[in-house]
Amino acid sequence: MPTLVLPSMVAGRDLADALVERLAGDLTGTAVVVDCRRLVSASPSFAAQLVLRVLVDRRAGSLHVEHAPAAFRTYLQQAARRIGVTDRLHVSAREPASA
Amino acid sequence: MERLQARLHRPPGLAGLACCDARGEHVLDLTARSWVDPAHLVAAATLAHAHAAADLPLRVLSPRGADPHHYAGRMHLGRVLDALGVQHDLPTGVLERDRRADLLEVRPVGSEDDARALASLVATKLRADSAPASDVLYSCVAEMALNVADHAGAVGYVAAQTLPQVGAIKFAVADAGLGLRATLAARGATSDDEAVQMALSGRSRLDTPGRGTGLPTTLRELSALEGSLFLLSGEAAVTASGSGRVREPVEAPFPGTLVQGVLRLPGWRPGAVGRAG
Repeated sequence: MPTLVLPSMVAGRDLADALVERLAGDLTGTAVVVDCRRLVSASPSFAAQLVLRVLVDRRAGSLHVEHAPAAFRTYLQQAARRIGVTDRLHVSAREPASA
Repeated sequence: MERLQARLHRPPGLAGLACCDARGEHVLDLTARSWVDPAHLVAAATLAHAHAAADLPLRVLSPRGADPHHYAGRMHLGRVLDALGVQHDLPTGVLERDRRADLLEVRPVGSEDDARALASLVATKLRADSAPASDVLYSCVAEMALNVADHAGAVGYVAAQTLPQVGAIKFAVADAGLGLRATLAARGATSDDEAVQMALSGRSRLDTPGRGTGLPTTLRELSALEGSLFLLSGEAAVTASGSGRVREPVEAPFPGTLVQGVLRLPGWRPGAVGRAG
């Protein structure tokens, strides 16, 4: 599956464009995975552009965001609602750090 | 400390930040300022930048009070003015023994890379004290600074400050670009006041889905941390928080857009010494 690994801090539409650009080939109908294990902080504009680029412009079948911090999860879900693609966005929360 | 508490959500009075034409010379007169917020610093830097870009001579007069005079110098406003070739009487060689509370001195932002770098810097500095506040600060500073790169068509300035006595953070972003009215004219904005309200409600100049979320999201996140947002563009200003929006009198119309955000550090208690956490 095409996979994006996010760095520790992500903000802005240009950065989302650049990261999605790295996914080679035709994404139509495929499942795209975003790995957020390293992600610490994010901005809503990055989340909105990620959803738009992957699910609308590149026409991926679904976007699976794994280990998402709480705020990033909220930004993604809000963006998916506005864009009308909530049924194709799947976000799994980061598990709380063990003591 | 009571004075600090009272000032926390008060809009930054920007009297003195209108350029007065004194015998053919443009002057930013801060002499009467008894306190200086990040908003004053970025506003002064932005107006100085606009003058320098237009090759118009400008002189900036520092606050007379020792504390605001010293603070403006410590936050590098004097250095920024030097770099722009603007005359001023602010200190530039301030002794910087304890700068823990100065999250970010006045810095220019002209691109998305700048916006990300500055947001990362403030968020990283705050992270050890409060991870939730650090996340919110990253998102808010990034979004507001990205707006400069995205919409304003100009260089802007960013500054941020911890207020350890009251467990709060203030940050400000300003640019002397198009302003909200010009940016939102195609969406029907016919006045500065209308444009400010539209921007806070998420209207964007672009049709693309998901645009225009920066200000509403910033306001929501600041409100969740008992914060507020002051937005000034042209002749309109609003202070917005979880309890609503208040139109503010505008002492000095601003030729662009200025935002100042305030947020509380979660878990901070009155009487705590130093920084929260």
